[in-house]
Amino acid sequence: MIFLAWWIASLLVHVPLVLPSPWYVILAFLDMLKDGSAFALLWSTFSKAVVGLGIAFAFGVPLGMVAGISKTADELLKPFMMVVRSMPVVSWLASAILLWGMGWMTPTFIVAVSLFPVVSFNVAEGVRSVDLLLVEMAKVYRVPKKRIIVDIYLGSLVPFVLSAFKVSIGTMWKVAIVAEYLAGNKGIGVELSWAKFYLNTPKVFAYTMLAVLAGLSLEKVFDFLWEVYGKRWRISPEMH
Amino acid sequence: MGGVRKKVADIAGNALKIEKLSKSYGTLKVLDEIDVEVKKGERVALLGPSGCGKTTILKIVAGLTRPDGGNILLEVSKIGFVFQEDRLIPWKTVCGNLEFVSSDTHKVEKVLKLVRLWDYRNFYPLQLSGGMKQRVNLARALLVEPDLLLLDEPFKGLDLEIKAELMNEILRMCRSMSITALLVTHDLREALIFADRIYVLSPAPARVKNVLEIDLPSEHRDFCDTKLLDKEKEVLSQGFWLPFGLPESPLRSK
Repeated sequence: MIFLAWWIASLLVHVPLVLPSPWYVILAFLDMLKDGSAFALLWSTFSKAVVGLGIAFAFGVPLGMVAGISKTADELLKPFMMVVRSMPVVSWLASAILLWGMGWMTPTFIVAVSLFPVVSFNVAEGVRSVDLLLVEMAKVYRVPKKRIIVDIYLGSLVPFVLSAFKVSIGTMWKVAIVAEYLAGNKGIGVELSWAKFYLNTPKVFAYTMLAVLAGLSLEKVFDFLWEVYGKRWRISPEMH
Repeated sequence: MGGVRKKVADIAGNALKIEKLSKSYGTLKVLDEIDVEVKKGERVALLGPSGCGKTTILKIVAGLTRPDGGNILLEVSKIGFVFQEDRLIPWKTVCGNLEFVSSDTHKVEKVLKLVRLWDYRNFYPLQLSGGMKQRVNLARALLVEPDLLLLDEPFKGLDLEIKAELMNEILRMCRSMSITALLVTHDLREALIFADRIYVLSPAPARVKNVLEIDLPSEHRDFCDTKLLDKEKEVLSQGFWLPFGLPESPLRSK
């Protein structure tokens, strides 16, 4: 249906430079698959996105935990978090380019800095949502502190961390491609930029298609894993 | 000056003795010199209106809250607590919830069979009914082989059929294992079925208004038993009971 609508729209617009026919795009896409460049590009963008995501989690989880546990820490961190959250990506880009130039580091940093507030906010909410009645119950039965932290505190955090992860894997692709487009030396974003420079619109669309398919596949993989392993956290009374 | 909660070797046949227990939350005084004695193997109920501080008494006995004044003398060391809310960890199965308290899998199996939930051991709390969740709550309390079982309104929110089933379950356990138990409730009938002795508390700040000795044979300790209903009427007719010292409602006087 989408392809049919696209095809009709391209016929109506009749300017291939603005909206090429889906057939040209598919041909460009198949070319990318045939010469293997699609996989190399995917890997390049994916690795930056994943490392950026890892950095966001490495800093976001502990900071979110601190903000969730201590109100004072939350108040102290709030201005910093607000700045990080509201600063435009291009402003970060300007500083990152000056620091690391065009290359691998800048897009990775941009992904990390974009995802970090989402992660820390979700983790802080998770910590605040810990059911203190469960902690009280554990105290009555003299459950060791280590078990309380692992089974109650970290257990409560799981759905929040996973929700942050799900939002992040959707966002990381977009951010990584934009960052590559503006300051990368390799990857889908860089190729998109060159295709646009040479007015090769079918290729622009083909790269977009590649990015969308990769993003959707990653989300599907996550949903599948959540379906299989996340049963205990999303179980509902209707299952009874 | 704070109160004292301590374990003592002998309290003249008592498992628990509460002496002049007082507690305030800020300016709100909730407990005012409460005296309660629970003999070994005895079932005692604290009966009072909602919000009078009954749960606070249990929390102080369990060591969760510090008293402002008075003494809590315990001759027992192992305490089981059946909470008002089931307090089950939602992401753990029935078995997982019990293993959180004790890693002894044999004991877990034993108590789950005792409360007839062994077939549900791999179910998550949200897959269980309210009554089943409370049975897991009870199983968790029994898992520590308690010398003293504290029950904080465990029947609240359950319908009569499930309430009766759970009550029978608890009574069966207490009798077969000779467990000393202290129940907190606002329901006279529950207290009459459960207890050998009832301490009637006033609205906050709670004071002991009356102590009732209940000598009903076990076969009459049932929600619909006529002897129990007669006993309930008799207690109600004594006048000190309802409605906890509040002005009588027009409906009730009719």
